[in-house]
Amino acid sequence: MKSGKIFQISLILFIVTTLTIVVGIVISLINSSYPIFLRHGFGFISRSVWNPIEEDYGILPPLLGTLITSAIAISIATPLAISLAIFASEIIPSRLRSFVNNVSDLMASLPSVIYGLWGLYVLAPILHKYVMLPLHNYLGFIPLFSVKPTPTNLFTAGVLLSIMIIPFASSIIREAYTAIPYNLKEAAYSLGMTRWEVVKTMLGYIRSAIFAGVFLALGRAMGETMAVAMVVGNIMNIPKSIFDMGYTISSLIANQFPNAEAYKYMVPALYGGALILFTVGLIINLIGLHLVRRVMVKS
Amino acid sequence: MNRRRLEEKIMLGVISLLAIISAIPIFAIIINIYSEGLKYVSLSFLIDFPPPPISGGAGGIGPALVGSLILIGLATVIGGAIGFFTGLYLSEYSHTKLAQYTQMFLQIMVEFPTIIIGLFAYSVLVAPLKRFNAFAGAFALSIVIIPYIALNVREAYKSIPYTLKEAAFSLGLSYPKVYLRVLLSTAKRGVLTALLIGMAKAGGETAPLLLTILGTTFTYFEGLDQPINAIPLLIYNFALSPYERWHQVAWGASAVLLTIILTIFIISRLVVKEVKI
Amino acid sequence: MMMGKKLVLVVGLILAVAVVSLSLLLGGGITTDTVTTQTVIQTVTQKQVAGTINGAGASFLNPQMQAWASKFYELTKGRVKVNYQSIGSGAGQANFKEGLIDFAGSDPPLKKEIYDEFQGKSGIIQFPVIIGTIVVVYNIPNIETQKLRLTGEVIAKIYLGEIVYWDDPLIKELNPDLNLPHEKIIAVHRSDGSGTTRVFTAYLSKIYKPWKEKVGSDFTVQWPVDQLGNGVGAKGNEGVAAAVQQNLYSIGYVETAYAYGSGLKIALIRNRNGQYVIPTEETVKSSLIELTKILPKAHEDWSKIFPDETVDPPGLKSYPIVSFSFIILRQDYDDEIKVALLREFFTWVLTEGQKKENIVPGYYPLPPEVAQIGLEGLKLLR
Repeated sequence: MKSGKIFQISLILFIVTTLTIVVGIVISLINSSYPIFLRHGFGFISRSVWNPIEEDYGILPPLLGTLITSAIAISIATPLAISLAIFASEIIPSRLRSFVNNVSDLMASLPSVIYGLWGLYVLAPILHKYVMLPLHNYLGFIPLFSVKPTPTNLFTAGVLLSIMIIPFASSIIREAYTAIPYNLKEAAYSLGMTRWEVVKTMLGYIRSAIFAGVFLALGRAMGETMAVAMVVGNIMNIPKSIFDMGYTISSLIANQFPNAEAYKYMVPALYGGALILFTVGLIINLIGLHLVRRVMVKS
Repeated sequence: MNRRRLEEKIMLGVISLLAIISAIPIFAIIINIYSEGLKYVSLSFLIDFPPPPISGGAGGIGPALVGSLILIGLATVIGGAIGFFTGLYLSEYSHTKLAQYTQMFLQIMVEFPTIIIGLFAYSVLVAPLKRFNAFAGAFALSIVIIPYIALNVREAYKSIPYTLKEAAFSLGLSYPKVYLRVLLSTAKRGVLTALLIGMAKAGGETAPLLLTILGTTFTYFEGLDQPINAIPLLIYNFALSPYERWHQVAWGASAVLLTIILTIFIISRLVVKEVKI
Repeated sequence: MMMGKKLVLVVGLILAVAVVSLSLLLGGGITTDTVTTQTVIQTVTQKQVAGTINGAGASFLNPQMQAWASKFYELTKGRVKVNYQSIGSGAGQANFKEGLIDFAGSDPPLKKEIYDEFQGKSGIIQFPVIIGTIVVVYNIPNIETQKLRLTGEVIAKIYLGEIVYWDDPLIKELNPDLNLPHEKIIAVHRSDGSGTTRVFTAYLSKIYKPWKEKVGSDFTVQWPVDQLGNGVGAKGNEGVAAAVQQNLYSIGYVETAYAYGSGLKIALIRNRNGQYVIPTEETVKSSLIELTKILPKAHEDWSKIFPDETVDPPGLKSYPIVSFSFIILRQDYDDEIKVALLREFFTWVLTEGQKKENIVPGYYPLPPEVAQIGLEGLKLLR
């Protein structure tokens, strides 16, 4: 029994290390960012200004940019991720199943700099020519599409993000879908339902897993840095349309951090942005995790 | 009846179409990267220094490749050790409050924007040491991969049948022997997969490296306290340059990076099927 | 005796190698017990020290720096490794201030605050190593390169958002022969802190007072055009060049090497004497004649003069946005090897490095009297 206690305690040392790192990150965020909150207060969040000469910073545009790109990403990714999950677990023959799952998992492991490179040189021009310009030309009266698009903008970033998070959301949905008790499906079929009707019913059954997948993917989209920095446009501007160029908080940090030390308040401002990003991400992840837990309890 | 069948056909068709659409990018990316990049890859490309923009030879990505391998190795060792034992605790003492909180923390950590981890590594290992250094990069990468490894190791140990554990203990073996010998041999596929996933993540991560390792041109490795290069960093720097030759190096480097990731991925698939990403 | 000498040499060399690798491994921090072996290195190799120096900064300088570093690596057969990373002038100065790198490359000289901070501590040496020019580039399909004529005032008004369309009367007036489209001007600028932005905004500030009042000049400024949604921010000179190529009807500013490298169209800019010019050897030479007379010494503060005074220089044919790229060093390094390496490399850069075969297209060599500033400055290195 003694070796058991020693073993547990030595494992706890590693747990403590992990927790120390997490807490350390949070503390360093708070510690490095509080001067900007003392200086600007709520104005740091509510204003649109990035003026190093006056040392005046307000990160509303990148905050909005983060929310908008993630929202675009989620609204594109959700139907696609659900389809991919159903496709892999219901439609194709089971011997192809692992192939499709592997492809989806591979998508999740590709480096984001590769996504960024591809997004900038391949995706952005295609989207610009075949999606954004037509949308603007024919539906430009809708405020959402009112700005004449350039190849890199919030929309491009959102689409690229959606491609990056589809496999992630889809794998969560897939897991829940395959975990549905077999007799439930059987019962549905025995009622004379078509395959589509069964799928529809099952999707209703795993509703919270779908929400969980969406929320966790949303968290991931908000934190993504490199790929977004390459295609989002990187300007300080309150977007009026999804075709506007913008910033996200993480792309702002990637762009500005290297020279931030040359100023007094830019470092705190960037850490402040990181802290806000972290907090918003935390809330979204907690909601997602809570939903996952509910699914687990149910099954 | 007919209408329902028709609806089924249409809806399943739409779903298949959407699924196929969502898988197009991955194939497009792989094909694009290889068709653009492979032609520049040769043995000397893997060894040589990056070229100057105009004169001189074709150059290569030697320092970045060596740097990436060192960073991946180091991050896997550090992150692997911490992640493994953390995961082991989560699995074996899952009823404790500590385990439950840690698990939640880890799930949040998976979602940490990696640039924030870069900021952290910069503030604890770069600024105080007064130098960009390889260790800060490896440290940041290990933080990135700890949660992936821990959560997958936890799954691996969870899947071991209880009877095996009981049998091992009834032989009178000590705790470390049971967990690190007997059960590890059963869970080794899962653990290996966990490490491989960590390696793939570490190999492709860019954001934390921007703030930690600086990059090098003529040196492969001069110590952990010195700057080092990495393939993703080199791609980021060269891809946006105006020089054709640097673009070529960036594409070639992307092909090499993709190969590394694919290799790790395929090995992990040969080892075991189900993983958490 | 002969044997003995050889043995000492061999032992010395082995020790030297061990110490160099050890000090590289342990952070180059030389402790007291290694001081004696340090002198052995110097006597054995006669100041031919080997090692790496790390620098970072201006992306403008990067191509030229890589060319120099590569050539010097060849010349010294791998003895001197110069590692320069392109992270932007602002980042270079910030990292230099924190002591993270051995030298910084920067388009503008050191900021006054940082310069002052180093006075009384390790001191500063800063000197130009190469001349560059900033060009205004554009992407209008039916207008060829070097056809569009602009003035500093018009450029300022575009970036202020006061001129919105290409067929604005103010642009038409300068270009009566061109068929300018009624398209919104997309104004591309740097999103990261950059010396190019510092010099470019210094030019706009000098030429057009409202710019100075509303925006000013720095590594990063608040671009008024962004608020109208017509701005694009891009990272690095390379990013701006790429963004101008990607966006139809855009305008941008980049260092000349980047414009040529990516085949962008270059605008003619009106100088003080009403001449429309682009950077050439002739127009750059003309810009430098008066400029070289007002340059300070390497250990002095350059921030007052450069770039605010040096943009828009007099001279009939002068190109208005001429810029130097600076190397910034400390005077004190506490590390003899670093000092020797820095001195050897930059002496070469300021002499042999200025020869035509070592200059990357798009850059211009220093006039000898400007190179002399750096050579004098290197004497202060300890």
